[in-house]
This record gives sequence, C-alpha cells and structure tokens, in this order.
Amino acid sequence: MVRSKQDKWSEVAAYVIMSIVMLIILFPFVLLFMSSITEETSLLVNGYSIFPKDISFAAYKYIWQSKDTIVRAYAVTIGVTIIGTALNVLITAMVAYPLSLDKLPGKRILSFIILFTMLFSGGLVPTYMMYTTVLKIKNTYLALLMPNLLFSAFNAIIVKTYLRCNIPPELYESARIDGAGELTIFRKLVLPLGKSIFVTIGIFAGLGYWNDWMNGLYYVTDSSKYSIQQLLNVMVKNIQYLTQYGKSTGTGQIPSISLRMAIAFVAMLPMLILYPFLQKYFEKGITLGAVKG
Amino acid sequence: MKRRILSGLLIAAMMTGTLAGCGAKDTGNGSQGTETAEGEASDINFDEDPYEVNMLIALPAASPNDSEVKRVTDKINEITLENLNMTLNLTILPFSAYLEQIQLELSSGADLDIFVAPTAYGPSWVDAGFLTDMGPLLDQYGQETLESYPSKELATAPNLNGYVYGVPVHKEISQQTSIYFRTDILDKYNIDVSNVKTIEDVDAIFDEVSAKEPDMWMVAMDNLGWPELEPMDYIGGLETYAVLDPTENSTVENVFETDVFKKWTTYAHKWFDKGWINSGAASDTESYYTYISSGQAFAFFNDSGHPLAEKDQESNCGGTDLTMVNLEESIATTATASSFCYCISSGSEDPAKAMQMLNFIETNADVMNLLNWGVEGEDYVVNSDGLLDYPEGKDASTVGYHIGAGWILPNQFVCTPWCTDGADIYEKMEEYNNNTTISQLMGFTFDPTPVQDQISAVSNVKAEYYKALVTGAVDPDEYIEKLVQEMKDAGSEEIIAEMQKQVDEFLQNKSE
Amino acid sequence: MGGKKQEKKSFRSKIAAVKRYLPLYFMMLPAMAYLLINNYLPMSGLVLAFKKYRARDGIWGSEWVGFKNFSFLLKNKELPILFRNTIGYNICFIIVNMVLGVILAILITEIRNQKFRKFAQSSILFPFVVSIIIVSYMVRGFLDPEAGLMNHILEAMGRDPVSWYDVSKYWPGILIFVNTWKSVGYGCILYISAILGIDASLFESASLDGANKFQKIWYITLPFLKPTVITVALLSIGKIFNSDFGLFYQVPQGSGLITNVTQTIDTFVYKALTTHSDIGMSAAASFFQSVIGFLLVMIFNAITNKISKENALF
Repeated sequence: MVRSKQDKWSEVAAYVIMSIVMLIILFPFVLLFMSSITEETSLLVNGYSIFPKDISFAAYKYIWQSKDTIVRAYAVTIGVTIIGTALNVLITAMVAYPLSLDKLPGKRILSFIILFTMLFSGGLVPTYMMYTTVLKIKNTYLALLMPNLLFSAFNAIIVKTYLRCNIPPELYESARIDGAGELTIFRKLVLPLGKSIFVTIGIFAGLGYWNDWMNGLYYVTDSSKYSIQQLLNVMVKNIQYLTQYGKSTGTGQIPSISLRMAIAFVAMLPMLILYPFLQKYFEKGITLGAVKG
Repeated sequence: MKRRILSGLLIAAMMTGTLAGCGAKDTGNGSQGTETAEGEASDINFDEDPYEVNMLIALPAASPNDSEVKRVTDKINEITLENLNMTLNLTILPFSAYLEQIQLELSSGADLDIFVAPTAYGPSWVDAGFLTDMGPLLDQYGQETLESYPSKELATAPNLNGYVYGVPVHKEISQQTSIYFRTDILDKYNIDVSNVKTIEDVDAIFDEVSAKEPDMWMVAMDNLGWPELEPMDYIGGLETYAVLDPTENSTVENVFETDVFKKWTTYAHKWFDKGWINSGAASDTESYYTYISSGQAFAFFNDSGHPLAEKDQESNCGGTDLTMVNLEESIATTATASSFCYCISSGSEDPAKAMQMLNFIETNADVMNLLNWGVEGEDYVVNSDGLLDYPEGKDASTVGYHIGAGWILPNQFVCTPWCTDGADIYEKMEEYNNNTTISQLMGFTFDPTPVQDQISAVSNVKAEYYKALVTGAVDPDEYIEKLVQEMKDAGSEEIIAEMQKQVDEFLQNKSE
Repeated sequence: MGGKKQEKKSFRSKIAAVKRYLPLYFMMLPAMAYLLINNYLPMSGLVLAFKKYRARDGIWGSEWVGFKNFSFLLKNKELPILFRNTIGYNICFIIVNMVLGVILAILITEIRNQKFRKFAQSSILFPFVVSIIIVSYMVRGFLDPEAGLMNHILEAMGRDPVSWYDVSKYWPGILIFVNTWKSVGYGCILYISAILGIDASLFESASLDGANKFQKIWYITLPFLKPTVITVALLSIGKIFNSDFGLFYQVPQGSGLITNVTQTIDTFVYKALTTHSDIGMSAAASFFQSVIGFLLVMIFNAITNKISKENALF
C-alpha cells in the first residue's frame, strides 16, 4: 500500500503527541521511584527530587524483612487474579452475547436487570451478612474471588455494545443454517471475533483483582491469606499509626515517607513486568473480511 | 418503568427473610444475660462443655501470625479451662482493618464476646444496639475488675446515661499539656527550662533559639489538635465544646469562642508568620515526631505529661533526647480516662460468661503476661532482676509473639514489667493516676441523638477552618469570628443548649 | 375475533422463539445467579435508609423512621455547594475523559512502530495500578509547600512558593488533572479495542477512493466509536451524584481551607459518619445518590431511544 505524505505527517504528529503524553503519565512514577530510594532525612530537608542527593535503600531493606509474607501474598494475588479474570471474562461473554442479539425475547428486561445493579446497591452490611452468614466464605480464598469482582455490569454492557456493532448478525444466521448450535457459534464465532474486547475487559478484570484490597479488608482477617494489596495497605497504615501515635513497639525508626513510596513501587512491579507479555493478545483482531472470505 | 423497579425490589424483599433472620438471631440476649446473672458468681459448672469466648483486640502495628496467636492462646486456655471451664478464641487485628471489621461484625450481629473499642464510639454503638449493658454484669461477676480502678466512677466512665458499655483499659487517666524540647539544643545554648510555666515563657525561649538557629522550626505541629493551655473537659467527643475549669465550673462553651483558644491561635499565627512552625502543618499527614527525628524542628507539644511520658516520646522520635515541661495541671475527664475500653457485644451468646472471662483476664497476671509478652522461654525470658527481656539473640521482630502495647490490653498493671521500662513503671503510673485532679463531669457522656443533624453540620464547618487555625496558618482575628458565626448558622447554639441540659441533669443526679 | 386469534398466534410464536433461544438463556444463568447473590439479595439493605437500624432487631425488625435519616444531608446549608461540586466535577470528568480518551486512542492506533505502540498502550494504564492513597502521596511530592517539586521549580525561577493546599483556586484544575491522569486510560483502552475491531477492508477501500486521513477518521473511525462512547457516557451519568472519596478527600489531604471546591456528597457523608457512625445515615445518602442517578439514566436512555434506538442501554 502506498502511503501518502499526509499519512506520514499524521504519524509523526502521533509520535510527538504521544511522547509528550507518556512523559506526563510516567514522570510521577519516576518521582515515586526516586523518592523511594532517597534518604529519609534528605527527603524532608532537601525535598522531593528526580536527582536525590543522598540515596538510601533503607525502605527496601525494611520491606525485605517481611519477604516471606510478601512472596506468599503475591502468590495469593496472582492465583486469584488468574482464576478470577478467566471466570469474569467467560461469564461476561456468556451474558453479553445473547443480549447483543436484537431478536432475543426479553432482551430489554434482562439488560435492565443488569444495569439496575450498577445504580442501586444494598450497602456493605447486607452484602457482608450474605457472604459471611449465608455463604460462609469469610477467611477463604473465595472471599477474595467472589464479592463484587466476579462480574461487572459495566463490562457486560460494553461487551454487548461491541458485539452488536462489530459482528454482523448475518454471520450467526449463516452459521445456524450450516447447522451450528449456540455453543459452537459462541466458541467458533463470538470468542474469536470479539477477541480485542474480551482482552480489554480481561485487563479491567485483572486490574480489578490485582488492585483489590477491599474484599480482603472485609472478609479476610487471617494474615496468611492476605493478598499483596491488602498486605501492603496494612503496612502503609500501620506505619501511619506508628508514626502518628507513637507508642512504638520497639521496631526502631521507620523511614516512613520513602517506605510508602517503596511499598507502592513493590505493589506495581509485577504488573509492570507482566503487562508487556499480555500485550501480544492485544493485537489487531482478526478482520471480519478474513472470516467472511 | 415503574413495574420493573417494583419487580426488582420484590425479588429483594422475598429473599431477605433469611438475612433478617440472621441479624435477629440474638434478639433479647442482653436481658437473658442479666437473668442468668442471678446465680452465685463463683459457681462454675465444670461438667458442661467448655464455653468458647470470642475475643478481639486491635494493635497499631502488624498483628502476629495466626499460628503464633494460637500458640499463645493454647497456653491461656490451659489456665482458663482449669479456673473457669472456658477457652479463649483470640483474634488480633491491625488498626488498619479493625474499625471496618468491628463495625461489620457488630452490625451483622456476629457472635463476638469481648472486644476492645474506642470509647468515643460508644454512644453511637449503644444507639445502634451493638453493646451489652455491663453494669449488672460487673456488679455480679466483676468485683475484682471494679476494684482495680481508683474509683467505681472511673471504672464505669464509659457509660451513656447509666448504660455501662465498657471498662477502660488501665493506663494514665489524665492529660496534661506539655512541651518537649530537644535536649541537645538546650544544652548547646545553655538554656534553662526549669522556670518555664506558661506559653509566654515558651515564646521567650523560641525567641532566643530562633536567633541562633534561623533555619530551624521552633515547633513542629500536626493538625489533629492544639495544646489546650488550661484544664478543660470536652463534651461530646468532637473537641468543639467544653467545660473550662471543670473542677469548679459546669458551663458548656464553644471552645473556639474562649480566650484560651484565642490566646493559642494568636501565638501560633505569630510563630507561623515568623517561620517557626512547619509551614505545611495545616494539610500535613506526617506527625511532628518525623520533624524532630530529622532534626528540622526544636520542640513539640503533646498532651501526655506524666513522668514516664518523656521516655515514650523519646522513642517515638527515634531516640532523640528530650526535655519535658508541663504547661498545665493534669486533669482527668471521661475522655482522657478511657481512650479505649473493653466491651461485650450484644451478639454474645452468654454475656455472663463473657464477663467472667473478662474479669479473670483483668486480674490474672499469668494471662495478662501471655497476652502482652507471649510464652515464657519462647517469646521472653525473666532476667536476674525479675524483669522480662527477649530471649538470647532475639528482638521484637524475630520473636513469634510480642504485643508490648499494654495500653490497649485489658489490664497492663498486673503484668510483669519489661526490663527497659523499669521495675516500678506500673506503680508510678498508678501513683500519678491517684494524684491527678478529676473533673466533676467524670463519667458523663453526651448523648448526641437529639441534635445529630446540627452536629454533622457543625463538624463540617469546623473542618473548614480548624486545621488552619490551630497551626497558625491564618489570622485568628478574622477567622475565629467567621468560624463561630458559621457554627451558629449551622445550629451550634442548639447543641450547646442540649449539652448544658444533659450536663446539669448529670450533676443533679450525682449530688442526689 | 380475528385480533384475538392473532394474539394467540403471536403468543405461540413467542413461545417458539423462547424455545429457540433457550440455550442462550442458559448461557446467561451464571451471570444472573451471581447478580442475585451479590446484588439483589443484599438490596434489602435499601430499606435501611428508612429505618433506625439496631443489630439485635435485624434489617426487617428495626423501627421505621421515615425520612429522618435523610435530614442530616438534605437539611444541610452546604447542600448547594455539595451539589455544585459533585455534579460539576463529574461533568468535567466525563467530557475530558471522553474527548481525551478518543483522541489518544486514535493517536495510538495510528502508530505503526509496534514497540512504541505497545509501550504507549501499557503506560496509559500504569496509573491504574496505583491506589488513590499512593496517588495522594505522589501529589504531595509535587505540591508539598516545603519539600514539593513544584515549589522548588518556582523558587528556581525566582518566584514565590505557593502554599498549594490552602488556596482554593488551584484545586479544580488539580483535581481534574489528577482524575484524568488516573483514569483516562480506562476509556482509552476501550476505544482502542473498538477501533481495532473495525473491519480493515473499510479503510483500504476508503483509501482507494482517495479519502485522506481526517476523512477516514471522521467517516469511519468516529461512527464506529459512537456506540461505545454513548454507552460509557450513559453509564457514567448514573454515577453523577457519586464521587471518588479518595480523590476528593485523600488527594487534598482533608485540608480545610479548600473545602468549598473539594467537598462532595461523599466527603460530607464521610465527615458526618465520623461524628456518629450510623448505618441508616449512610444508607440514606447512597439511596439518595442512586435514585437521582437512576432517574437521570432513565431520562437519558429515553432520549437515546428516541434519537438512535440501537444505542440505548435497554
């Protein structure tokens, strides 16, 4: 394909603008990392800086003390994230596909039932009672998996929109005429054709599980089942209490500011490492032309 | 459209029978408890299955692993099984999870027996039906507990109109505004602080030091409070209304209208303008300890002024040597005498047994030592002075269990002291408590329900100006007037009237 | 009579249709069961807005109190400011996130260098992995009056330092910037996936017809993005009375002097609950937010139904 001059110019513009945007996005992370390795007193006296005068890894040393707990918490989070994301995408796809069909009887009511859950919520206490007294999942891994994160009405509606707009109904019709059952259509047509949206909501769901500490806070008090975010959150808050109310329990001086930054960095790290590997699923989806042809 | 909403609600309504059932399972337990309390206190039935007491405590630090807690409770249970035919199921939560957990458990009516609570939450938790009235239970099963306080008034300070919702932890009961100077600076310039009594004296010292250390902050502040320079008894837990000079007087005032608040904010503003206060204090979330240990500041105010506080504060400042000077007489009020208290939840299956267990813990040195320091030989050893120390080669982070925070446990005064605290730490503390002045409103807790809306509105107004005023960031001449006027618009006077009414009733009942 | 017959027939054909779609209904079962457990059963909590909840009496056993729980919020004199801030910020957020999200999505998909594109795609999502508490510390790193980077820069330029946390006028901008930084990636990645889903042959034939870049964006990309954009906007409208507590409370660090531009319904409710923790009060506040969000979604969905039926939510 011949590329026009205009195409080149617009691509150059895209490079320039995106570089600036990325600088804005990434700069705070650089500051975050640099302040995590700045010596605590220097941070207070000289202030935050990209080029700190005194470098110290005291914060990371402090975190390293609880490396066993952190590794275990990572394992919990990774396990929960993988299982939860897979289930989330599957459940969402299974509900979004039927709703994307204009002819489905009861479509509007069903859509409404899903949407309604986004608008009204019974609040924390009844949900807590449901999960602890009826389902009894307190202090189990299910408590990290189930509440609120397994399925999101928002994602279902987004996927529904995508499928309706991007997959022509004639494709389903011709498959049906060829004798394909609904499950086959779902597996052979919907999943591959909707790949880019499924990857997208997979990322959303994955980030949701990765970032979650609320479920842990409400439903997990056994510290051996802490997820990484819950563990780090507990660490950050404990430091805050210790420095604010004193009453130190003999743990010595804690580099509180740099430690917070270091903790934030530790929480992101695996995501930063893993994310590029997920990217390969994020390529241009199979074009419809190819399927049709 | 309407129909669809209805159907949604209907599904919810049909199914919630189960939920309501769960919440209601303990209906009337409180009264049952008091009925069983008729029996003889020492009557313990060793033939029945041991009763398991669910107990929850909170720590401002990471909690020990569950397996370590289990190791300690196994030891405790040996003692309690023998004496009470009960066992203890202990949960230890870090503060970061505590408040959410406890409110969820209490509102879902979970089977929790004994737990620690911030006393300030008492009135709303009593109002929500979370807490059992411990008054009759204490009379029946808690005589020893009652006797462990200087007076019954203090033992039952956490009460709302006579509904005793907890017994306070044992610690220093009073507060006493004090200033802590860095000793190294005092020595460097040869400054004598023995004659410092008032804020005027403090101002003079700052004047002197700032001339020699122009880059140093004279005082590090946070924005959580201000150094009350005169004894006062805050009413209603908001730190907004108070009775000044509460041994004589009983008039409720808006704190921000008082002369003493004006005096403080005027000094603070003057110091702020001179660059003597950390300029970010009004929005800072760092504590002042940080700036002392980093060497940026010279002094700070704190409301603990007892003789042992100096060492506590030094360790909070990373070992910086400090000199403490008291700026007011110590005063004990309901709030200062019971920062935290131990409560029995209304979800408790057997409040009488819970009370027996609490009474036992409060008075048993072995159990308290286990709770606070862990298992002898594993978590601590007894040294030649009869005090406790870490086993050879271990410290706080390497022993399996070490709470070391007696101020949040039921009764640290029966514990064996830790070697670094000194043998007479608990005697000294009790002596300090016995010598403190006690507010005539001790035991009074304000019931905010009649003026709840006004309180929400007023606290919102207060939040707007409070931090900036107490840290000196704004001019008090202008802002106090603004604050007071907006508080009045938000219903401040109705709150004061209600408080005055309740205070007068309390004093009348007391004198009868 | 004929009408009746037809009705019967259409009923029968409806049954047939339902039968035909039965496997599809089964596919929806897991999601619906989950919503029942996670959302609909706990919705009994909505009645707590009208009750004085006592743990011993349970949800249904507690006493009805009418609208008493609402009074702390609705009788408050600050209500107009709360409304202005909550709605104002939300409208800004919706518009900024939408416009910037679409622009960035188009720019990213224009980039041909695979590595750079992947990097760009990843980086816009990075802010997502940071909790809002950490964001508040990062903001403090820039705006701290003593140690912050901004004041260092100002001083280096010979200008007076600003005490950022005390001056209202900066905060609308700061909050909008922080919100955009944190959440523009969310919409952006949705729009990217929508663009990637466009049949590539459309662009090719447009090029053959001599369409330039902007024409292709205007006539192909944007129309394809429209349904997603409308859906996201409609869903955001339902949350217009809600606000991210972390953003409005943690990021300004609860600073008092700027509350007139930082307080929202959620921060007000939070402050009220710290003076008196009451389930009824929080239930009332969220009920109020939900009802307004619900009405707005209903209205806007009805309008969408009139204008472009296929894009309506239901």
